[in-house]
Amino acid sequence: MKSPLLIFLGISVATHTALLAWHGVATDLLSRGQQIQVSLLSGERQVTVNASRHGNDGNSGNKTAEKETANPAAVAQPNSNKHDSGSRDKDSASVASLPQRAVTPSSGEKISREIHRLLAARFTYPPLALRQGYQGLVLVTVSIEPNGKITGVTLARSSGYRILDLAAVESVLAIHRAPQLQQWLRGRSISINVPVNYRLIEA
Amino acid sequence: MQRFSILGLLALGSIIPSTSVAETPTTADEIVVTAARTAQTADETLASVSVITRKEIETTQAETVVDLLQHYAGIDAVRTGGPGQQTSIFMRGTNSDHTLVLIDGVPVSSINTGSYQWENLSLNEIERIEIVRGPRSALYGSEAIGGVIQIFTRKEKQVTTEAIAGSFDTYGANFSGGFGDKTKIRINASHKQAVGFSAKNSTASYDYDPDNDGYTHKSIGIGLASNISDSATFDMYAHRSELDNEYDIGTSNTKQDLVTARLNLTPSTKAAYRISAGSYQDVLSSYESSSSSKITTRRLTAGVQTDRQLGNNSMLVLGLDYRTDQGINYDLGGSSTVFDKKVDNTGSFINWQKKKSSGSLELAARVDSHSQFGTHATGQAAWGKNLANNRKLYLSLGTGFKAPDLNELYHPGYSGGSYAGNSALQPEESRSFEIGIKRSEAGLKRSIDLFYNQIDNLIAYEGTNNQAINVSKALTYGLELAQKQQRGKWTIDSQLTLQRAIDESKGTALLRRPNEKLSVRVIRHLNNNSSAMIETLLSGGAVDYGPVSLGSYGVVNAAYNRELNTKWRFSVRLNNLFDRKYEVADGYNTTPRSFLVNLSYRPG
Repeated sequence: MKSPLLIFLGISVATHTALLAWHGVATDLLSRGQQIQVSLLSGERQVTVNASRHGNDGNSGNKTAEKETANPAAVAQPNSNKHDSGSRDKDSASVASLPQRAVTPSSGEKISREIHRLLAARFTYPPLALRQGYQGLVLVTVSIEPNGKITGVTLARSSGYRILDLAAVESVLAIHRAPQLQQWLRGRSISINVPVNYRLIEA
Repeated sequence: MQRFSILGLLALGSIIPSTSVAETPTTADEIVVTAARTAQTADETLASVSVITRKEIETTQAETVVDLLQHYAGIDAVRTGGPGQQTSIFMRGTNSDHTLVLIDGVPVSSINTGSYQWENLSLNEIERIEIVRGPRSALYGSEAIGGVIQIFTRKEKQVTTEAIAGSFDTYGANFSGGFGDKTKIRINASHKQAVGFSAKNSTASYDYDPDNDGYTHKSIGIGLASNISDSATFDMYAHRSELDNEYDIGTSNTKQDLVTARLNLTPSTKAAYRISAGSYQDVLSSYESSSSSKITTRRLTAGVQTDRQLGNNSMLVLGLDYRTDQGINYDLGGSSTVFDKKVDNTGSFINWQKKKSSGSLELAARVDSHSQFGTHATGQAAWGKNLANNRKLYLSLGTGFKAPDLNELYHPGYSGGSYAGNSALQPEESRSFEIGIKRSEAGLKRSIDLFYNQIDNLIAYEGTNNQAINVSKALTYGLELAQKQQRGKWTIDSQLTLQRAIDESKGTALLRRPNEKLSVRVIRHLNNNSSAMIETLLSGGAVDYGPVSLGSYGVVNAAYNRELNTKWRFSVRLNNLFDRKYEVADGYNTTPRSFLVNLSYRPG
């Protein structure tokens, strides 16, 4: 009874190989493992920064449809994503060197983008919340002194889970100071609300 | 000059902020922190884990848990007839009582036979199944030798109703719904019946009866989940299921009741606590012309566990669990109690895990104190390394055990006391080793595992007067290859198992476990959340009692799942497309070519 099995195996391997030889668009419905993705959302403009080694295309691993525009002035992101199109690959230095225009983005926006840059690398999904499957949106208020020192972080709105609230607050506090903000603060203290959305994706 | 200055002033003005100190806070752009949902039962990077989701149950239109589990590497599912008949699951070639089965954290095997009655599980009630291969006694205690299968009950957020009809006069209705926001109530209910087909076929050497063997299966579960505060959640579930089944020489009725309650506390990012309690009861009444019996398991479980985050990348878990089991074997014919015994077990465990970007390490140890055999310790160590190209290598060593069940301990035996139990039995013990490589990236998940299990002190009825004694040995080893590939609208999921399961004391193959199994499932995703699936299961031959050879076979199943509109969905399942006649147990039928249609309605 071995030969029918071998024939079936042969057909199976042949069909399998034929199907695999297709060059379809790889749909990212499968997990990238336990890598954490931090997305920067700027109104309608959404760019994903892949904090893992799995950086590939600029598309987010999330299932939500995300749009990207090529407005170089508005977006700042770390350079870890090699496949970004050139128009999006700007860091804060490039933003600073843009010519002055009649209506410039407000310093508030620049500060919020700088805070994004700082926070992007610092947020991790708390392992104990991941085990329980907790998700939620936390709103924290960050107070920054003119020299860039982060003097206070308070919880403005809870996600419904203390562990996520604490994780967001602790992540911001861990930054201590952001001297790069000085140039935008220009001697002011500022208070800014930062929404942090902890989301789980199905593997 | 003046114009220039005015322009200059204007330019200056546009970059000087209009307000000075303490302006009202602007809201920054949202930061999204995402992570992939991980398995709860074990760390997927250090073990071979497969997760079956609700979506898979819908895409495959699986009728029973056998249809779902049979696809996966390292699992053999054997059923003596159609749905409703006795079902055994073998993981990595180990015995059917060497797989720990948990439903919402409660162990559900019979304390008398040591195995779980899979035929009593309704798929309507399942949200997710986590299959963890390899030993895990260092965390869960007895039975976790070949693996752990953890079932999570369904938590719908809206209402779904289904009507089912199919071959063999199968009819059924399913309901699943969730209500409420902070406090959620969920209800899962199902009813299924069939006239069925004969469990045995004419080649059976005894007890063949050509009449159809049908079943009626009813199941209901109610759950309550509440976010008591921002650091405490409570979850409770109560479930009852009842199966009336006919087989060739009799009928049986199984009633199963399960209640679980869990309180999870997460007061900080550094520590979490869980307090859980559960109760499980199953009563199997069998009515045959020569004997009728009523076999009962009553179980209470309680546990506490704390998870502590140490530093940035270590986690320490400490836990204590207690269980007490009562087993009653009652002879209905003679109206007498064959035995009525209790055993209890207290286990304490510790698990430490360190995860870094380069790899991880896990160490676990558990001590069980059992009222019948005393103390037993088990341990586990696993090491993982992250390689280039999204690959992870892991190595795992572990010991496991299986406490003797009450039939083995206390059954008085038959005429002249032969095949009697032995109250001095020791637990069956295992030593396992496995090595694997996994690769996980967009559109591709691949894994290869090599496993080796040495099981000693196996209980066999080979003592004086065929009394149960710890005399036997088994060896199981093999290779598992799994690949799930996503390309455009196609998903191809293949699972290959090559294994040997050997009774070492006799030098023969262990029964009903084939040496080769290949399952390939191809899914074509269609527009409007619809899909079509075809799966081929190829199995090598196996050996059954006798010894009798069971031939190798190939079976093809298909399913079509179509969304008609936002509320209605139509699906059809075709079993055994080519009407292949094959056996997984000598003399017993397997599902012939048949179909099942499903119409579902979601009012929400």
